[in-house]
Amino acid sequence: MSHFGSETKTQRRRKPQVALSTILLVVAACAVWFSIYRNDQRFQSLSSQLRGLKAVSRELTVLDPNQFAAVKKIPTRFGECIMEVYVPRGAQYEICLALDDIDESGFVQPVSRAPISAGEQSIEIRYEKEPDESTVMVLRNGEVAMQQTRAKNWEPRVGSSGSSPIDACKQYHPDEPLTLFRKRFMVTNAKRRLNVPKGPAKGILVWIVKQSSSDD
Amino acid sequence: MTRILNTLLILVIVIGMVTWVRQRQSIGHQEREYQRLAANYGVLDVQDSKKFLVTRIDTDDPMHFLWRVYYPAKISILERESFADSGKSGGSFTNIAAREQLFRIRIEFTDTAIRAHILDGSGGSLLSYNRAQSTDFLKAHWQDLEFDVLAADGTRKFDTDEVLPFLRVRLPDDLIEELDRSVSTKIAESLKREPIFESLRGTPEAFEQWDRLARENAL
Repeated sequence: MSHFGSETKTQRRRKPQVALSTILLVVAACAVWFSIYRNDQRFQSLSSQLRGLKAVSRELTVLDPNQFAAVKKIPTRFGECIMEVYVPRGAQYEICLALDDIDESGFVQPVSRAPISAGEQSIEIRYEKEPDESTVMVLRNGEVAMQQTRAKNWEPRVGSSGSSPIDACKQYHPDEPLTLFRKRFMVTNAKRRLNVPKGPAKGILVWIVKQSSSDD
Repeated sequence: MTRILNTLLILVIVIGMVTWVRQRQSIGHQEREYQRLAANYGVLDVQDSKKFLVTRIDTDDPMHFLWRVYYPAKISILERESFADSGKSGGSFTNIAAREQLFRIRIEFTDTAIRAHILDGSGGSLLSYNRAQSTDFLKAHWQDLEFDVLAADGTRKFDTDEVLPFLRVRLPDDLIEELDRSVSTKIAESLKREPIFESLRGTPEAFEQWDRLARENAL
């Protein structure tokens, strides 16, 4: 009688058994998901480093091919102003240069203009001052697209305000003029103080705009 | 029961494998981008966001010095450059958010001067040294001068109470005799006493300590 009773208790006390296949699958699942966790850490680390690298590399990135894209390259010499610009297809554009009557915003009749093709290109604005004259050049892919020379008295040579509004890579509406450079020269006022004039002033303004359908 | 458990585990493994493959594709693309950009701009792995981190980038031009710099958030930075005794120039900027930027010093000779193009994310400046006698001497012996270039041996980390001496150009002892023969006594003394060129960056507090130590050493 007692032997029969102890056998029943033994059956009740038997520990649940796990199949070997289950154990192996659990180990495999843990290995796979631990690997995923490590990959995620690596991904986050790379993302963080890439953010820093992209901020210093200043590469042109075109996400929407129907819009302008522009980025200003980090200068390698003082005064250097080089931009990488993407011009969208589907319309004719021109690059314009003005040297007079430049206000804080808006545009004026350009003194020089040149067609600009669609696609990616490099635009450099160079301003060279010699003792008797000043020369402004706009270079496209390293070649002079526009050049204007003015006598020394064109610029008071006491300072200026403004430069390129283009900085980190950004996209712009294709129907709006894209300002690449706006600089206005300072003058000495009646109290012999330097300031940038309120209203139109001499300077350098470079922008890209859709070509008008007929010449004015 | 075992069969149900095994089926669930197999499902978990399969989902994991698919996720793992997609992750590897993304990481592969990122790693290629990273290798491409790091080849030009160096590796700057910011582990401590509260310290400066500087890595030097090779330019193959002995007169062109380039660094990639990490600046922590919420600090003011003073900039200070000088050519010997021709006066110090500089500026300042305030870093609201942590950022990385390139810092570049490019030295060139003109007919009558030595010029340093100082360029960083906050702008740029052009510093000139126009003392004809010493300019000719320095042009002739530029390759013989001593250059202390920050992070030349590898990426360096700095506390925010330290001044970062990016570049210091000094006259070696073996050129002193020739310097004395080539230029006036006054110019020779200034080139011996001060670095020929120096570029420093740091917080105002770091510069206070730096300047105090410099005054104490001078005494």
